[in-house]
Amino acid sequence: MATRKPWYGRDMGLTVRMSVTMLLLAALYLAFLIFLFQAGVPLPTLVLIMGLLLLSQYYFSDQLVLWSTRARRVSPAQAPELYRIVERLAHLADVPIPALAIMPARMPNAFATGRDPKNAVIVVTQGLLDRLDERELEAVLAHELTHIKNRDAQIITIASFFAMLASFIVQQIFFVGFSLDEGRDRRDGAAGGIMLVWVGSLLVWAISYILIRALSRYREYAADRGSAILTGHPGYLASALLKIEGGMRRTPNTDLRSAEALNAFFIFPAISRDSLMELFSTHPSLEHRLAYLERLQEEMEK
Amino acid sequence: MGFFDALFGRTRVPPGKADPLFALSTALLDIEAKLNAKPGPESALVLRMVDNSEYEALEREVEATLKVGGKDLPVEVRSVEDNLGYRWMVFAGPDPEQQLNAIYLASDLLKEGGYADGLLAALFKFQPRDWYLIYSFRRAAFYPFVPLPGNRRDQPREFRLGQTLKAWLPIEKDPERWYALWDPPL
Repeated sequence: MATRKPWYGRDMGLTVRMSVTMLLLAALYLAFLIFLFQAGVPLPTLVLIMGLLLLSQYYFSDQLVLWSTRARRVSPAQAPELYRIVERLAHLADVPIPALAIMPARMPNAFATGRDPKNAVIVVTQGLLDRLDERELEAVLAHELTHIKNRDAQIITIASFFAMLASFIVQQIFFVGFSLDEGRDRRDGAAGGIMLVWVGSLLVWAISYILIRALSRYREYAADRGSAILTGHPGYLASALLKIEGGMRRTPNTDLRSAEALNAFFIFPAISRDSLMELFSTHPSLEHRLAYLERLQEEMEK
Repeated sequence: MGFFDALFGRTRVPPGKADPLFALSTALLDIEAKLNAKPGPESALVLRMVDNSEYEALEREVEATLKVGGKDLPVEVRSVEDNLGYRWMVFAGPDPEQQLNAIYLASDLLKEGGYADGLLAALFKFQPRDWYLIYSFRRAAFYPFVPLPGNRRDQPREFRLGQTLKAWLPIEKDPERWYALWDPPL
């Protein structure tokens, strides 16, 4: 008897959308570099400075994030139940067991950080532990573990590199460039050139922002998919997401606002639903994610 | 997991490999003679359950096959679901070799059914001074597991066992991948 394929196939649509987004980003960045080079911007220096900045941020991201969220690392002896769940999932996914940290916040949420699977940390909030049952918790941990396995932190960091460069140029010229330029150099051509660089950078920054957000949403779908595959139960994640959304609504606003900067990492974004269109958000809407999980469940039954 | 799988966020659980399991059948003699350890009366297959009707039918089929073949395989099967949602198929019989065959047969049937990635581990118990030998289907390797009360592991003893077993079995090289399987029901 021939060995049958597993119940899940490949999501070609998702792969295609991801590749198109990444290609567009690459093309945009390439054009941006050529444009900057043509405009006579001291490119190597800029790239070097940004590279160093980004590398250090990337290298210390786990420490920075843990420190800024006041999350506390816990040892296997302190949180044996959590580690039991994660250890099995790591075994199943064939990745090293990530460290766990608990963030003292009442809103239910979770995120993963760390530069590579060996240094990965999964952070869960106290609210998440209080509200979800064991199966739902497992689904959320599997989602975060898939982020680690897919190296989403690295991918988004790389994808954001030139966007950061563009936003850096926009800000520097805006705050310093114009005034300095007027005092030092009164040639019309130079001022026009700087204006052009400013507009160009602004454009690249805006477009890449939308593209990175799209990429981030696709990575979320991929992580939801990974959670369904690892747990074998798409329904667990669906019910966890519903509970998390309910929990976010009930949580006081101050809590939400202090967490908004971390959105890209969270399993669920900490912003009110109606304030932003999906195009500009890091996560797909709850409806879309539930529909996706439902489709996976159907795929299983086939 | 290849570069492109990570780039496109494709989750593919590596299929479990069952063939290296048989290295244990020859190693059993050495373990008995040199480590002074006897295999316990039971061993187990640890499975990730999948939420569909086909999988449940397949599991029943596996049990039925093993029961029908009972004359060739003097092994009894029972199923335990643990509190983490994993299935333990426990095989009991006087002959450790037959337990191993039953585990292989069951894993093979699951593989043919398309659930190779649900195969997590096989667990063998040794006495006296209880210790376990875990076979990881993901890693296609064995490693020792010596649990202590209170979620602790006797790591020095695991290390010593690993060093000795290395001569007879493919032992997992990265000790970080010696994943625990707490509270085995054997």
